[in-house]
Amino acid sequence: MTAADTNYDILPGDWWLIRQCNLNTQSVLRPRRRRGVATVKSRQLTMAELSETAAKLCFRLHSMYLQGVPGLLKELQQDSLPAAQYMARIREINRRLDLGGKRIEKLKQGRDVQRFTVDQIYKLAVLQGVPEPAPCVLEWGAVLTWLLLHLGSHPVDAGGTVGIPGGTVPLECVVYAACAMFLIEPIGPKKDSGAAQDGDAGLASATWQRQALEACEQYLSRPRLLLGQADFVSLSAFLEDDPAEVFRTAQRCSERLRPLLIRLGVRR
Amino acid sequence: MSYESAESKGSPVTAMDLALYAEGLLDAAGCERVEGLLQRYPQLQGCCADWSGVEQSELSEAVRAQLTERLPGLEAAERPALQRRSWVSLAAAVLLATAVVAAWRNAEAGAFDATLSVTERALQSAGAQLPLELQRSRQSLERLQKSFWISDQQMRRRNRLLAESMLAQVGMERKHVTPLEFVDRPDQYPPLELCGQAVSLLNGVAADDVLSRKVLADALCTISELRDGLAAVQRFQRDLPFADQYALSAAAALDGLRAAPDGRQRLMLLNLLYRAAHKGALTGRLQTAESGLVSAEPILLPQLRELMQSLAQDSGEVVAEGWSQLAVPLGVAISRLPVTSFQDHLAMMGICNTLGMRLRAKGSLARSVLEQGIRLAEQVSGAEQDLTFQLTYGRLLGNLADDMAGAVPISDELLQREKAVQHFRGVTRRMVSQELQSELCWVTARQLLLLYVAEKQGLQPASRVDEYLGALKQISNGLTSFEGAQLSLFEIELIRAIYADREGRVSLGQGLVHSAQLASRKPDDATSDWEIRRRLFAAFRDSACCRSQPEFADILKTHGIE
Repeated sequence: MTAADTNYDILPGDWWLIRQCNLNTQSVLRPRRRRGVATVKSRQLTMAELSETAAKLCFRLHSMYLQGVPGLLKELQQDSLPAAQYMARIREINRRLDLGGKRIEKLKQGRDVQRFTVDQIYKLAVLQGVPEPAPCVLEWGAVLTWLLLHLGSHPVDAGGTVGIPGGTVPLECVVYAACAMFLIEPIGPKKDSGAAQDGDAGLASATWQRQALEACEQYLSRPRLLLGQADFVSLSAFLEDDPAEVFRTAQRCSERLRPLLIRLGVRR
Repeated sequence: MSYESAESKGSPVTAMDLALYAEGLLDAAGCERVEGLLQRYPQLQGCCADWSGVEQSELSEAVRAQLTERLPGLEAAERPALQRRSWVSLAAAVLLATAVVAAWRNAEAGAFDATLSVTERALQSAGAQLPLELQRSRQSLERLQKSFWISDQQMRRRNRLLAESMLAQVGMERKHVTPLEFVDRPDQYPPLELCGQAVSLLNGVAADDVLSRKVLADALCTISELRDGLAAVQRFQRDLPFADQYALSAAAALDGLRAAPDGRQRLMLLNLLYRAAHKGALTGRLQTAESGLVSAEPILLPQLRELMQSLAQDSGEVVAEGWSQLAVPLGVAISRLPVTSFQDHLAMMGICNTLGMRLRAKGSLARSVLEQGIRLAEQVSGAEQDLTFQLTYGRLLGNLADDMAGAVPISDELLQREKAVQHFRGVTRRMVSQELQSELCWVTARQLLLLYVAEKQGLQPASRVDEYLGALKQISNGLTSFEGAQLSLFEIELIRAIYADREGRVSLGQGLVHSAQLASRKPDDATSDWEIRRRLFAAFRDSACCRSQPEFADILKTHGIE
């Protein structure tokens, strides 16, 4: 990659780390609990909530993947009906997890799905022979970016709810996340201190770009939970034939993000 | 500018759609696609139900759709504020056009009914298992407030449904908040507070409002159960005064019986009442509006007599004055009531267990009552995961073995208690419960002592004692923790003596202070308990650990053992 190829202006992912920030949108209905009584209060969404939601979505996707839900959905919608096999598989998982009846009952009540998230996902992974089950940073960053972009284009509705269209996460959010995560300056001693000490900015930027491309390649080798089929093919082609397109796409996403983050009050 | 993902419209349902749906974040079009798929493939609903909140958007959408259908442009969330503003509009509307008011009335009452119907359906279907759906139901109901157009009947229905949703939430809260955390401040136990709110919503319901009275009886039954649980924790975990909680349990059960005298909860309420009274409810205190805390006996006893009167087959039968005379005839009368449902079986098993313990000194009568409870348990199938059932069944087996002590050959008693031990061992492998552990500790400890006696009489090999000693060490944290096992302190001393002898270290014993105290209280006439104790101490005649204690010679002498 030449120095000319490395000149991209992409917003680092530092804004992902902001928590205590009310987003300048219409108020959203949020459940709350006071003196044992559940109520609903209308208030503004915070970055912390958006970030936690992104993490929960990633977790859910991984749990579903480990339980075989994406494959089931695909086959069901092609009318090849593997539902009986799937239910047998779920029963097998439950039996093998040895949760005990009460534990399964709790899981079914939903509340404990939250409570047992960590051990549940690892156990599922072990059963499926998956050595690295955790949702990766790239996914969380991409989903968080997607949620925020959606919030910018579809404000909260009059009823105080946020309705997201679903489907799959756009490619530009994934590649933006791959770049933005390596543009965050890590704490502690720098791993690649040689380039920075030499003042060679070109080399330093080549480092994050190399890391971003590697992250994209690695992500493609994982179960592609966020990307649709078309985006998966596009990203593979970019990496193969025109890596600079990855950064150009990320930059376009970044350009859209900058004014939005200011409008929502996340950045000044 | 719109920002949508490439595959969101008219495309297959993706895992991301399900994840967003589960979080209640999917938009209306997406929800439609997901729900369409769930309807086509109901098998999927099972796996989706594992995800919290899957149904929340369905419910909220349904509620909103109903409301907006009736009141175009009116969003559910804005209703309270709009209602207030509407009063002003109403005044003008009355002057201008009565027809408009009539239409509005129909719309508001209709929307109220629509919300009630949607919530009722949700509660009847899966509401009790899905916390977020339940929460949504409650929120929808809480938003419905009395207004000029809402009839008393509609409000009664709203209050009943709200109370039902609260009780369903109590069921869930009980799994997450233990009585132990509130043992010092039982009135603040959250499930109890929720039940209190449900009762206050339904207090004063008319006698002909059968549905509301059933819910009221449910709420009171749950209060009685919760107080019983708190009392048990106070008694065994913290050694606190517990009679007040039993008094409150009994009072709630009596209120429940009044609310729905022939309801499906009748036997459950009678079980709770009888148990509370047996455990000392009448020695507790109750809070009254007029006099503050007062003794429970003058309040509860007349009601118990009245109950006995209503249960007595012969209306001319004289009802005993005090609880000690009333307890057995009342228990016997209750135990004769018909049993139909699983809940009835469970309640009757509890009644038989309590009555069996009450009759301990009366030999064969106690045994037949406990056997009645065991027979009922054996008629039940599919209750493997029901903790109360498993606890009660095991207690019946264990109490029957205790009751047989001294009255049958040792081998028969060992055989009976072995059933209880095996029962609790099997259940503790499947379920995690402190109570189960305590009960397993109780039957294992008693069996160990009896095996020791049998070993000394040459009826059992020493290896059986070793086996049970090892098991008990595991259960009781190395013979240090016997909380809730309802063992006498002298029994624990003797168990420690067995351990010390087996290890060959007298210092591992725990002394015989409590055994000596017990021995000094020799009854005037030889009772069954005395004979059992005598048999036990006789087995320890040659125990090096016991012999090292200065009190032991006196204990043997008092029991007439050479």
